[in-house]
Amino acid sequence: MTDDKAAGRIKIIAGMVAFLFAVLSTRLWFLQVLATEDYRARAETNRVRLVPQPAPRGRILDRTGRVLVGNRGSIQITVDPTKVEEPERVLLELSELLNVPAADLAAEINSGKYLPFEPIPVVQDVEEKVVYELAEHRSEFPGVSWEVDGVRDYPYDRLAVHLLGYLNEINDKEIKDPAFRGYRPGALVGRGGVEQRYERYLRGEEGWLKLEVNAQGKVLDELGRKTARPGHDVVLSMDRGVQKLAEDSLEEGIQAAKTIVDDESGYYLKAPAGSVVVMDPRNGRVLAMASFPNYNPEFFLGHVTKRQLERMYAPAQNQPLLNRAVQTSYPPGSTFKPFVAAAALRAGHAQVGSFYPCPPEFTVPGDTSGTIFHNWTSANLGYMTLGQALVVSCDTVFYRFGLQFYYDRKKQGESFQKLLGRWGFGQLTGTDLPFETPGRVPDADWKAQIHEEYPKLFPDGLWYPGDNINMSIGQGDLLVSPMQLAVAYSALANGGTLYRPQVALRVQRPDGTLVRQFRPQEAGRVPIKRPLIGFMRDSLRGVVTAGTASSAFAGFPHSEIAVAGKTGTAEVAGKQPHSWFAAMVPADNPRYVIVAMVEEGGHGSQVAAPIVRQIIEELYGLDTAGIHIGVAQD
Amino acid sequence: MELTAGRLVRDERVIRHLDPVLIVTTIALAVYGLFMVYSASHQSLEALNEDPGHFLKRQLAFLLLGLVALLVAASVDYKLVKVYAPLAWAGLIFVLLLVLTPLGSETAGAQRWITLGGFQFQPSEFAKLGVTAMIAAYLSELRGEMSIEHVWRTTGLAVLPMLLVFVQPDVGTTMVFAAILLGLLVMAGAKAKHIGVLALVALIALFGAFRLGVVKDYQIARLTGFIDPAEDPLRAGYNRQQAEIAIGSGGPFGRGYLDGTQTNLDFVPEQHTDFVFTVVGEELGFMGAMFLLLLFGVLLWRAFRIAAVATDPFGRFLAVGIAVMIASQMFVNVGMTLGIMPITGIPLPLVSYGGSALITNFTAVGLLLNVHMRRFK
Repeated sequence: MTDDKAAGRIKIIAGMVAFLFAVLSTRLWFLQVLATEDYRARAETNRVRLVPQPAPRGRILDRTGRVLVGNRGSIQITVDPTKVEEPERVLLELSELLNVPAADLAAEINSGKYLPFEPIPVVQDVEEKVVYELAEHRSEFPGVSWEVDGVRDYPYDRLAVHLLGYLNEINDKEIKDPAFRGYRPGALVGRGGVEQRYERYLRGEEGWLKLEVNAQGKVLDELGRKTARPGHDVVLSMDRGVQKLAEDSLEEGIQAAKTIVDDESGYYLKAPAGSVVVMDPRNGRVLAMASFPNYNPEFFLGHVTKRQLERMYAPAQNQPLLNRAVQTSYPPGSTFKPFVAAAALRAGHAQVGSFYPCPPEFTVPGDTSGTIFHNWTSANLGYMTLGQALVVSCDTVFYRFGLQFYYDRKKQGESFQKLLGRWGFGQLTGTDLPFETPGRVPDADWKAQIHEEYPKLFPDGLWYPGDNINMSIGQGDLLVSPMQLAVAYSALANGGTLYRPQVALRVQRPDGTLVRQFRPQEAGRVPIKRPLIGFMRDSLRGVVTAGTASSAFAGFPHSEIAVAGKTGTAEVAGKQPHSWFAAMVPADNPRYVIVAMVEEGGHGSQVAAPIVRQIIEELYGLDTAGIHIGVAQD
Repeated sequence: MELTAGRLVRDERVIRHLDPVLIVTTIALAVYGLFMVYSASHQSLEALNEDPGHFLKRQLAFLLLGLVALLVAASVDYKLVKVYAPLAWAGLIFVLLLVLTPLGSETAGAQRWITLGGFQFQPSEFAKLGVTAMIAAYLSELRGEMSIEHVWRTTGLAVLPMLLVFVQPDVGTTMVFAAILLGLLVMAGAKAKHIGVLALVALIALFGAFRLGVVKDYQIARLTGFIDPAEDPLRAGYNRQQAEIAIGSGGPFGRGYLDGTQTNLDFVPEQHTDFVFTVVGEELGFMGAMFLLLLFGVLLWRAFRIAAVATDPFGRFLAVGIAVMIASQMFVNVGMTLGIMPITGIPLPLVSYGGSALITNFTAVGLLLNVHMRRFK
């Protein structure tokens, strides 16, 4: 090896080494000069841990300040997956101890909702004895621990569950929704009722604790904090006492209905469900709102599987989650007649002093198809005034008005529907409860459209006189929610103002200082002259004293408390009739409007009227003899 | 120096031919290391209620021992090293075998140490230098063209210690052995095709080792973690990610000495030893890191220069071997903290905490000085 060759080879090797230096320098330039910001941020994320400080959720109070929904401590079981050895054994034993399927526990642990090193809550609201059990056998459950967490407390159990709503974990879709900015995965969100509608007041603001931690997760320093702001309390117009008696009366009425034999089908009434609305007609405030079947709100505190949740919506279980007072609409039957009468008066088809025939049957003049519209009774009741027609609920009188509106269509279009719409039918009441149904006031356009969409269900797309005639007695394709009916009767009761029904009275801080007051909200004036409102209420007094509801109100002290009301028996194809009753008390200057509705509960006079009677008796502190089934006469 | 008969006559006393640049650079690297070791370890030691200067003091003691080793290695004529190289080689093979017996001690799944009289030694560190000397000795005896047989024999000298280190397992040191072998073969003028054949055989052997399960799972995980750190951020890739974060977050000028959060809060593991470069990167930034690389550059420049001026083949091979040994360790170590090399337990020469490595490297520098000083004999 000559020195020249050696020098050359040294240069080659030194050159290779120089190349390695170039590689390292380039990489350093990239990491330290070009990507500094990114790595700084990651170093920060490593070092800083934000510990959320939960804000206690606001309470829901009734109008007298009684706590309907509060908060209490609840034990939740957590699992730190990084500390669990033999995960299968631990999960199986934990599953046995908690009585929750191991698959559900595993699903929660693997949900990816939590940060690494963060203990994952797997089961909420367990009993204290589970904790004793865990504490005794700590070594068998490595990584399993428990925390005390705030959950909803329901001092009155099932009372007003539909009105109040519940809490549930935010879902994947919502978490991406800008409306839910600031919510973390696993956060609880109000569902249904007041909990949902007033979420932004109830929720409060989460605080945080900024901690410096080392690689082992040990806290070394506090870097900063933001104190949580507790949620505001929501005060309802609802009165716990009225709510209680509305619910009790509804349930008793439903139980009583099941003992009645339906004269059409010959079977006992099914009466699976129903609802009651008690409203202050002077301002549209909801004093009580009952829906049956209901559910235990504690159900949502513990572990709710998807299947359990689905059952709550299942028709086979009668959908206990459904708030039937606002979320469901039905044909209103004869409870609708006062508004048809008002429309007929307005259109000039009826006069207060005139007499109208009430035959057992009605046919459209010139109709050769042989279609006959029957009255509810086969007796010919002769001629009567409009007021008497309301008292005895004569269908054939109203058929005539419906037909006349049909004739008007050529000149005036859908004037019948327009007048009814101004009473709030077929549109949202604007209540502060979610998932409200607008119901339906059918017209020619609707019928043509629905026929096009569902030709099998709706085989005819043309608007016939019969459509108007059916609507004139609250039947046909007309649908009304109990809340809509309460709003319309309230307008009748207060002299003509249509209010937006409200359940919330005000929002206040935990110390009671006011945050926001909700004033009564007028939605419009109903199309009826003031003197005629008095006439209408007087006529409806007759319903209770001498008309279709007189048997249900037999023995009621009418001289002390004047009640005006209207029964309704809504026919639905393939079902037993729905029982309705709407009342205003006291009749001359109403403070309460009460609507009761029992699905497949028979005649209005049989079940719904007795329910309302019992509520009135309790409201006025009268002796009540319980639900007394009335005679079917409407 | 004196002028005689119009000609510059060199002073023949070897001590006059020390390489001050090499000495200053070496000590500068070691002192740089002292600062980094303190920064990397004081916080953790304080947390354990121990003397925060514990590792610093030990490293300082190793440094003094290293200086003694340097003096010894520089003063004995390196030709004696060539004479004793076979003996040293055989002795090291024996000690590397001992490590694998129950006499050796294990840390983090690797059997790398021997404990003697309360001190732990890492024979693989000494073995690097021993093997370099042995190969240099062998190659310096060859005359004429480098044949394939010469290549195999040279490789044989390296393969036995390589295997013993590989099964400890210590993939990093194995890679350094391979680099030394390659460097010295190039230096000896091995033909490119011979080196190609060698590389092919090595690849097949490595593949076989994987298939036969000689390579431990954790090694595979570390190697694959190098490819995709996100796959298992809690284990294999975690070290790599944290090292990258530490270095990247240092930025151009660093976060300040003793002020690195990644360093202080233990996010980077093994920080005073294998990952010491992350402290440099985080606390002193790009400037500090480049300065460290510059020191290494100067050191290697001196080493190659010594190889170039060496008057005999052994001295030349020895100097080149030492240069490649230090360069490859530096590259593998710094490269792994930058995420461009697999994570292997290998210290940064002269900087990382660790007595065996420090003494070995000081000895190596001593040998370089030795060759430099005796280049006129």
